[in-house]
Amino acid sequence: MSRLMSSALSYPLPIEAPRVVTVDAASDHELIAAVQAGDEQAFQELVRRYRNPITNFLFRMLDDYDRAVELAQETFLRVYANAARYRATFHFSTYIYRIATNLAISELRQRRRRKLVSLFTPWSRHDEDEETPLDIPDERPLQDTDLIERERRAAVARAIQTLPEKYRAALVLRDVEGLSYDDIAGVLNISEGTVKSRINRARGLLRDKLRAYL
Amino acid sequence: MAKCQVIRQQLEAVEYDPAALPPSGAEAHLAQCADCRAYAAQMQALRALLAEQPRILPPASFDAEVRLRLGREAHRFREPFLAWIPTPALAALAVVIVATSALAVRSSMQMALQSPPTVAEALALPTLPERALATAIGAQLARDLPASPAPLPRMAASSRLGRVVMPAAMRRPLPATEASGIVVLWRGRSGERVMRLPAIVYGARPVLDRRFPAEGESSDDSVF
Ligand SMILES: [Zn+2]
Repeated sequence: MSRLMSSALSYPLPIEAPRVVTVDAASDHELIAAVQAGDEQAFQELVRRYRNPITNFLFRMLDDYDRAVELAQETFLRVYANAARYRATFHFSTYIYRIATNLAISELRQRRRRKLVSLFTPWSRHDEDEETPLDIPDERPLQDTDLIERERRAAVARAIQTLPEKYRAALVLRDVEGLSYDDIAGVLNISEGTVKSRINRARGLLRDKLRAYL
Repeated sequence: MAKCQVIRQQLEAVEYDPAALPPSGAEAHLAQCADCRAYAAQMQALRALLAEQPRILPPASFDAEVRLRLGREAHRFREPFLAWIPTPALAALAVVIVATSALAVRSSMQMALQSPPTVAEALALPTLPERALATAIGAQLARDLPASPAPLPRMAASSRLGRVVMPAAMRRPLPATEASGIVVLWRGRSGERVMRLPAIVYGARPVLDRRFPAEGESSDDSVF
């Protein structure tokens, strides 16, 4: 597997190679199997395939670009570290989203603990953008449509941040990342019924917060 | 109102399973219920709002940074028994240390199993001459005394470097409990010392210190 892929890249037109397996064409499971065999190129391909969705997912979960990028990198490091133990029970996408979700949720819990500590530290300045109730946007007519759009997007991003972690994860996986209910159940390790009820609950909360835009 | 709840749940169910048809009766209910129409429209708008959120991309340096961290944090990905070592160089060093320690233990065990050095060999050793010499003397005395040695206060040997003097009077048996060592007179540059040498000689300890005799005193001190 590993050798096949390397040779496919090294020799562009092998004479007798009707079934050349290239990194580009390999399935995720083929790639992770190659990573298990120590193929760095296969790992790079997995990074290339998933860096965008994982970074976006983490950004929507955390609303902090730098931290999202760091944790996206951490996600890939963990994929690499646990490659030997990977079992193809789920889609690889389910597996990598699960790692990213766990990192995001533990980050959110740490934030909450820090916030709790800072509440009891009289001289600390409280972060105002952290899980504060959604600002109701003012109703002044804005001529600049870009500005309106930016404001609407910012309001949606802030509204997502007000959701409790477990609702947030289910909603972002479904409505932002577009995963199937089945896959979300795998990512969150809960039943499909629970996924549905969490998403409904999250949408209900967002509907209340974003009424001005609906 | 209960009817509205049912209809809304049915509409959600359609979203879960796109292949499913809108529930029978839903259309008719929506046509006459403004609340449910508003609800359905709001939920659709909400999904559109979420879907239109711009996709955030990682920086261009992302892949390189992952590679860099993979190298820098490689200790996290090693087998557990070496995972505590922070860098590959230290891990290699640890392997070398463990291997050489094992070799050292093995060779020292081999040395322990070999016969102890003779007195002459011990004197030629560059390091630890006292201990090696004591071992050699012990071994030589053990050979010279096939039976158990005499009681401690009475048995003694005078030793000079390279020579052990064994008084004939000492060559008599002794209860096994007291046979664990012998006493020798050690004469060095700093003075003389009566030493008890246990069967295993490492850690020989003096039982009596004695200064050199003053001028005019008898120097016949070989036997106590
Ligand atoms: Zn209704």
